Amino acid sequence: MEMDIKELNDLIQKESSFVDLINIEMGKVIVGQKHMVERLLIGLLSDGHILLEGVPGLAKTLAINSLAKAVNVDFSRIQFTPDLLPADLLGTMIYSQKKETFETRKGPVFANFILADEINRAPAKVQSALLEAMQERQVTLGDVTYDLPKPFLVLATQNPIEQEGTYPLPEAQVDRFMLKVVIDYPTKEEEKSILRSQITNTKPENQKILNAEDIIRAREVVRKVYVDEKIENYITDIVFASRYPEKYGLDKFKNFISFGGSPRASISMALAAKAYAFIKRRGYVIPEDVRAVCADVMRHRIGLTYEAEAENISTVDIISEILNTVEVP
Amino acid sequence: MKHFKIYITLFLLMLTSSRLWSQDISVSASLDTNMILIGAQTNIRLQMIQPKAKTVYLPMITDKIGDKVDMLSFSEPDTTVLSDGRLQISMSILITSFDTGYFAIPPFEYKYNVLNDSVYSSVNTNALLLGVFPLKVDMKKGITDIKPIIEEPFSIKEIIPYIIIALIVIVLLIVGIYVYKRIKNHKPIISLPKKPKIPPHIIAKKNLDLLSDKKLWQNGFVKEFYSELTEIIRSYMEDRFKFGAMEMITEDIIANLSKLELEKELVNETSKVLELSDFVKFAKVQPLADQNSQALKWAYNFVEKTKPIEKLNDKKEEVEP
Repeated sequence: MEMDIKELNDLIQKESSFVDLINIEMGKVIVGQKHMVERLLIGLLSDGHILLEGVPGLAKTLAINSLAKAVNVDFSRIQFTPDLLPADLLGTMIYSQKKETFETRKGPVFANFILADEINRAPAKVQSALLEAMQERQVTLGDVTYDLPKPFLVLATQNPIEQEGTYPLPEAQVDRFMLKVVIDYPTKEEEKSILRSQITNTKPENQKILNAEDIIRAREVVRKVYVDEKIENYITDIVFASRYPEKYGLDKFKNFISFGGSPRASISMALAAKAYAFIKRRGYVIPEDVRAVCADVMRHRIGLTYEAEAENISTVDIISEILNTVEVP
Repeated sequence: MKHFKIYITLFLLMLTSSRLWSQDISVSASLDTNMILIGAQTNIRLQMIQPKAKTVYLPMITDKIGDKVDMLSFSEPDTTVLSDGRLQISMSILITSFDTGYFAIPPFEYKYNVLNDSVYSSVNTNALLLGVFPLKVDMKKGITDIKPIIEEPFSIKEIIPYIIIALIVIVLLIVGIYVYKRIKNHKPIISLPKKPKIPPHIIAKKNLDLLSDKKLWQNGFVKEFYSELTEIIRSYMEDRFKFGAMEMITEDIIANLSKLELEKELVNETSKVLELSDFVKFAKVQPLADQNSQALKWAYNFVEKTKPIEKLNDKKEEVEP
């Protein structure tokens, strides 16, 4: 039965109280980067994996570490390297001489939060193994298929520079990340705060303020957030404009886009907008929510042509123009 | 001695150059002049007189007449009926020679039927002698043309096709440049006269009247009412204040309005109505009837207060003394 918006708003007020607490906890160790922290929460609440991209030293790993510490769940950090094997990630069957049988040794992927650090440093077979686990939420070792724990959230990082010796994620695999968050440098004031906090001896410790059940319950509430048909139309218009720009008066981008957002883009945008509305303590999605998450949902789902690269046009430019062209309901 | 022989031959030819007769057919050949310069041209005149009922065949004329004389052209036979009823058939052959000397032109043979169609007899013209002389070259002047180049008379007809082609090319070029410039400047190729633009406040008021007449919220279509209401006002804002209100969220619209010189109270009221509209459109909120009528009232008020100030009065004042 459809819940009344007022009841839903009350429920959200009650269930979203941890949002502020998480922000406070993460704020203890992360200075600034509010956008990144908010996106991590969106991923957590909407059951979507996140790819973080930024130059080294922008606290990508620290942010994910802090989030994992604030939530009382199993956490694994996997440093992706060129010699990593799928078995190092998923686990393997080991022969026990004592028992004379094969025993299952589960890999680090069997955790609630996975930090796949520098995912583009591992070869395609390892990336593929992780991305399959992300999609299916299960791993098969030998003849047995094991479900991954719930909640299961992969937070991957990659470095946009030092491309030598890396294995860029293929489009089909990058599409499995709900959000791709690009992290920029902190402001001057934030940089000063970081400096001060790092040169003192005190290292703040994160407190565990949530557990797995809280997250699963919050996710159920997020699923209930109301999305009107007008918002659905707005989302599909944005995704379609990335596929057929000429139909939306964006003829100039026709030769710059090789492929637009997939149906997974529409789903991810709606889910992310719901989670954003939840964070903003609302039981319904408004166009502001869609616009807030649009760039992070779409930036890795639009393929650029060589012409676009030659003209120095980025996916963010295209998304920005789409948002300025598609009518808000 | 050599010249003497030539003169004797010429004299004998002259003696025999009279009309030759056979039965009642007479033929003759003569030259317009029997002495020409090398490359110059002259005519051989052939004449034949025959009874009307007789069939006489004209001589065969070849490209070469003798060894050194060239035939250039020959005329069509010209037939004249003489007073005694006989026919006189004349023709001329234009000849030249590019060798010097004296050249004999052999007699021309006319054939005719004697008894029946199978028995022929012939009658020949007299032979002719043509003297071709070299041109005296004045070595001081150098080599010059024998004759000047013939000037073709100027004819306007000849250049008319070129003039037409040139005009077509010029017109096509002008049209091409015009079309290119229009396309480059993103303008229609053929610009139709523009209709006078209706001011945005007139359109907005007209649309608000239509919305009011529909009585949407009174009939339970509250969401539709707020959707149309905000669309009319956002469209008006876009035309009136030149910012993309249709593509903006409420927050951005209010931010843009705040930058304009509008009454603060009006902006606040606009913010409230747009937020209420968002609630109705996206959160299934059912406002009170009073709020709906207030929203419509606000819309009229917003258009009225923000419409461009007419400068008619100023103009009148200027005109009046």
